[in-house]
Amino acid sequence: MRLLFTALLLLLLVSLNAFLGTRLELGGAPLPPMGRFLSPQEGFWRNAEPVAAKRPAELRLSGLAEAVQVAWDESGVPHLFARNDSDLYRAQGYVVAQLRLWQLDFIARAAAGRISEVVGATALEFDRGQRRKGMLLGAERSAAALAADSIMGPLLNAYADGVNQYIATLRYRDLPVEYKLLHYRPEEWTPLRSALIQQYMVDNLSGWDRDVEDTHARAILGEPLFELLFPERPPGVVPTVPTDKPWDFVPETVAPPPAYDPGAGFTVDGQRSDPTNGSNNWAVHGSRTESGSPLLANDTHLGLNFPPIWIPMQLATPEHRVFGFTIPGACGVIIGHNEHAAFGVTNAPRDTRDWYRVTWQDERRLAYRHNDAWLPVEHRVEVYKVRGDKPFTDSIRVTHLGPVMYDEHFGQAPARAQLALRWLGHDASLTQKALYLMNRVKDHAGYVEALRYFEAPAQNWVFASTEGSIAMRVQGRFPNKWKGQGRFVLDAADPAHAWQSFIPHEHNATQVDPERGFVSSANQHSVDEQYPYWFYNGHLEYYRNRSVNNSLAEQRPWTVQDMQALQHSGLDLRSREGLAALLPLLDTAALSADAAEVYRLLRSWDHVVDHQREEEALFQLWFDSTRTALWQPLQKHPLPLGEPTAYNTIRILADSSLRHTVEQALGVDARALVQSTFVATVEQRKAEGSITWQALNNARVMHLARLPAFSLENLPVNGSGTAINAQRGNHGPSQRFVVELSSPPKAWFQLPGGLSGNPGSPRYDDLLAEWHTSTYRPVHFLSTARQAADQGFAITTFKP
Amino acid sequence: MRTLLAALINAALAYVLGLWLPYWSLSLAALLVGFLIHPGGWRAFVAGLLGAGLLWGILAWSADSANAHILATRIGTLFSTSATGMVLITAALGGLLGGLGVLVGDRVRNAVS
Repeated sequence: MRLLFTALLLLLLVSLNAFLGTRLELGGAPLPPMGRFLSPQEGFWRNAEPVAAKRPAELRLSGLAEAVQVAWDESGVPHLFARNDSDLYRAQGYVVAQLRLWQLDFIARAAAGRISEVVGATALEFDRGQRRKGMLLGAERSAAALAADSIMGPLLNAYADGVNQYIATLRYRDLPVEYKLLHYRPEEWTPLRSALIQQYMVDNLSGWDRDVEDTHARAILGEPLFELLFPERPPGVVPTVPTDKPWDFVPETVAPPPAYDPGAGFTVDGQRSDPTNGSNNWAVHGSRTESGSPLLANDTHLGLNFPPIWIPMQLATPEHRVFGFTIPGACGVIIGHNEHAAFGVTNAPRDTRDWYRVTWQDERRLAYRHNDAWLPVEHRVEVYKVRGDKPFTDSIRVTHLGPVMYDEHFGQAPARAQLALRWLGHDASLTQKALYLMNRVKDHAGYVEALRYFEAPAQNWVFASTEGSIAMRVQGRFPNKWKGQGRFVLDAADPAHAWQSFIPHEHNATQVDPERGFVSSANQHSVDEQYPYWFYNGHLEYYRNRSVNNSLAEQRPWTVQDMQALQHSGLDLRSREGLAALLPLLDTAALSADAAEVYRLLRSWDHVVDHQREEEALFQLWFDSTRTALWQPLQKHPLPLGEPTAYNTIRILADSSLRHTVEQALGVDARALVQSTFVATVEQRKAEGSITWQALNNARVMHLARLPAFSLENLPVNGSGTAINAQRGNHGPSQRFVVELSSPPKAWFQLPGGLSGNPGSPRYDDLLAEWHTSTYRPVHFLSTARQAADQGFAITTFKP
Repeated sequence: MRTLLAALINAALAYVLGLWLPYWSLSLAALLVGFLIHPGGWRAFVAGLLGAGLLWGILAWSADSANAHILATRIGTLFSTSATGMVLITAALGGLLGGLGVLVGDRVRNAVS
């Protein structure tokens, strides 16, 4: 009996230990193996970084030709000093992994459509969408092109080796806490995974179109009403690169085919990127600055996440030294400055995603019409490992144009089975090589040469040099389209509908030292109608760009502080113009006392967003409900038609003749609905007591795994989606950077988070509080590790 | 006295094994201590409870203090508790595993002798 009891106790002990080492799911929520997770010797407690922790003085990094020194400044920014490029990027890989391993690994997994391996079947639809739109396809092609490049091939290998040597030092207990929570291990890094992160950015910044909505809208509304609601280029637009002198090249021609009616019944792609991913950048000529040196500013608007997408760092060899912002997985920096020049990016929206209607030979959908023949589809077989489930196999039809994303096995709508996707993201891109050259740029000619390799995602590259030159270039590999090509669904059978050629690099829109004394960009139309190639995108920016230009047009001696203040400007032109259109439509005699109070509040407002006040919130509630009500007739249609932009909505409301046209066509009464939405907004305010912008906006930085415990919400930010300080919800300036092009250049930066990706580190979010004020950190642009040591910065020496 | 000694040895052995081995080394250490020191009956359980509970409690507490409660507060939010709550949960789990371990070791010794 006692023996049995003892045996039972032993069994209990063993099972308890086994249980505590097992990952569980409670009501769908994963629970880490609690014994492992709670053990202070190997669980999450090991990630509680001592506040007073010191950096190791020495680490081993095999494969180095010579020692590399890393100085850590007071913001936690690493400064790498190497003797050659290979050592530099090997150390960069190691340091980025030290700071951000989980993020690095997770983004590459997301890009490759491999999240279900970690979280199970809930992510399978997402993963399939990623691979079906050709994420892996594009990344594989870029990786092959980069591997074949004599400069980038070896350097990306060195970077990967640096990451892998760091991973090799990690036992379970040393893993980032996210691995312990989700219970999996980091995967080996490869140059393909670096290409996947490049692909992730291409998707983030060009993975959007509205071809299907526009195709339906044109067919249903008719050409004139469609063009009124969805104009290519509404009045009042100022492009990134205006034509201020004749274009000095002969454009290559492309012949338009006869008109084509693709029919209707398509369903919209449900996995598009956020079209508001964008940015601001500008440079002011030295003739207009107080110091006489050019000034350059850049802030990039992306999802606001922990860890931040950007890592500020300095990289130096005897041949060059550059400070700037890198993303995990990339060699070098993307935005930054060296001893000679500064450079930065904003997204340059362009239509580089087109859908083609496929005519199948029969129901098996194994061949499709092209010209007068039937072409067989290729099948790309994708296998998905699914946590807690058996692997899932998917077969994707690939046409000569690209993959058929939706078919009878994927997506809600069988009708979509007829569309093949052609996306610039399917093509190989040597973007990494452009960054390599840009990090070493010496002058304007070098900038143009570096950008020759910058193919995707298309960006407005701002430039300023210590020699005094400023420039803007709309850079990417752009298909040379006939007017209208790809705005609507195209015909896969007609060779003239395919992209026939690309605009030569030399013909990309560019502006150098313009008379106005500044260059700027903010995701607006890239060019005007005098540019010899057809330009189109379905989502462009209409407000920030004009705020920047209006400010920079002021004649005054511009300073670094002015640039910083401008990056934080909360002036919202959309609110100003929206109110100018909406307020006169109200019947003020009919307003209640509460409504009259709101009316006075909005009328006397200076349109500068203040998070503690109500005006921006009241305007947005009113305007959004007006917009929804006005375009309700479009939404009631069974086919998706899209919604006119805010800019065009305001233009129509402000102009009585346009308004009447729309009222008659859609059967709405604009005045009546503006009045009723205003009353509803006033009622909502009354019910809630008050509605501050801070409460409505809920500015927040979310952990990538969407864990609220690792996120920060309800931040006090004086910005909005259409102010230069383009912050709304979980989206906004993901870094800010200002450079004065003195010799050597001086720079300042902000980051919404911290350098460390570890939620247990004091450097996880230590820079965030400054990000929503106008306090900037000065950049230490160091010459040597000795100089860093003299300033008291900790030094880690990587020894071969 | 013997109970206290067993608790101390349990803590020390668990700590050393824990430097290399996973969390289950806590139970392994407790088993060994129970078997070798043989405190007997409920004393065995108390020795393990004290030794392993204090070991995990003190390690968690010191990690938490050095970290200014940053991580334990965040993890605590995930588990609907505070940083101190996380220290206590850790100590309690350690204590349970230790107590059970020494008790089983002690019983096994009884059974084989």
